[in-house]
Amino acid sequence: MNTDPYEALGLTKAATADEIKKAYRKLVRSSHPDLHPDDPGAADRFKAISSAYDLLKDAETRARYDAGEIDAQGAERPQRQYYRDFTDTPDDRYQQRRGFGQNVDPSDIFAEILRNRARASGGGDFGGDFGGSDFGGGYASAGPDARYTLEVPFLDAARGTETRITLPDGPSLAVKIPQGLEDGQTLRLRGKGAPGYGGGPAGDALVTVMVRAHAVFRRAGDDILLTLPITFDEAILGGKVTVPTIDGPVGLTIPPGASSGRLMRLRGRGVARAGRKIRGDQMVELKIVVPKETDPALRDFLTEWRKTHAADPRADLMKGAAT
Amino acid sequence: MTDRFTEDDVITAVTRLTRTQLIRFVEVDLVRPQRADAGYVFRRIDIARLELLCDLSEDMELDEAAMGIVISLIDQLHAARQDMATMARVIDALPDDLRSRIGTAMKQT
Repeated sequence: MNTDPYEALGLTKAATADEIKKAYRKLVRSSHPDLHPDDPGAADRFKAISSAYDLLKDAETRARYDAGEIDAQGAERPQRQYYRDFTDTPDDRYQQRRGFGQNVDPSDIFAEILRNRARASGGGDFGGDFGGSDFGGGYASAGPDARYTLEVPFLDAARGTETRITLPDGPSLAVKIPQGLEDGQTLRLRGKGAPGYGGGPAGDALVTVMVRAHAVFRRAGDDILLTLPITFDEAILGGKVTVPTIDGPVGLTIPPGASSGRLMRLRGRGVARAGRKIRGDQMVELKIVVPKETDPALRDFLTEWRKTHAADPRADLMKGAAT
Repeated sequence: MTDRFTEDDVITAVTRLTRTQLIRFVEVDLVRPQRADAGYVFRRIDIARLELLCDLSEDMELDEAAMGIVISLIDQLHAARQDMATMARVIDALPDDLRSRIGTAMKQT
């Protein structure tokens, strides 16, 4: 597919990012296969507009496309199966009717929607709005959500903490950082957004959290990665060393004959996460560090040693490697 | 092709999905994997449904409440389509005279 992505979205090169988003959303409404299960052309149309959008939604790839560095091909999405392809399977758990013969009350549709909503907001708090005088009376609606971003230190994100955001208009907002929070995750604080209309509930505060990088620890999922400098005598003879972890220092035994780059696993010393039993691990990568000043006695010894112990670790380096 | 996927498989297959999001979708009942001793078991229908949920939440920026409504309507749409297909099959298998009577009745409404 090499069509012009601007054309696919019905736009020109002058379109703003906002116009691109709007055009894409409008086309999704008319072309998403799952919103139009009886439309056989929808899958092709959706594929075209979503690869166009993939290319143009990111200012950087868009600029590269505009400059002719990449073509529309670059953003093509892999084949995908749509939800509609599965909905006539016999064990579809998402079916919302019990077949013929039973009276389906149309009010069940609303009951289902309310149930989902009540569950999404932690349960129960929806009943009040509809049970009381609000129902059929005045117009009541939830307030809009407020969006904030918050940067937290690496260790606070890994271990969890409580912090506060100071809002532009004065008051501050308590934010609980859950253990094992990931970079870019959004926390929803119920009812901390703008006030509702006509007695409706307040909106939510959506806090997007950026995790600051750490000088020593890195994170891969629930595992913590760390590069540990060791001396060459520790590498050859082995030894006990102390390693920092996110919960404080622990001892680690280095086996004799450890090379640079060797990975040691400290099981259960990674990130714990609420609702899961198993903690991540800490992976320690060994890095041999040689002293700047070499001891003369050692130099003499190694000079002699080299004469009788010629071993080339690079001898087999290219063996079996593709040309 | 296997039709059983673990939580990890699903996160690998649906590249846009984070683990946190997946857990949240299960919590609020937008996807319903089976529970097994070792964790959740997902099927291919769940993966396709998660792709759809990602389209709705990321591209369309719907919040959970809106997603609940949209997905509920989509599920009902599929149920209605299936009912219609069942009826069409049943009518198709009826004797000719009955079919023509149904056809006449439909034209009258």
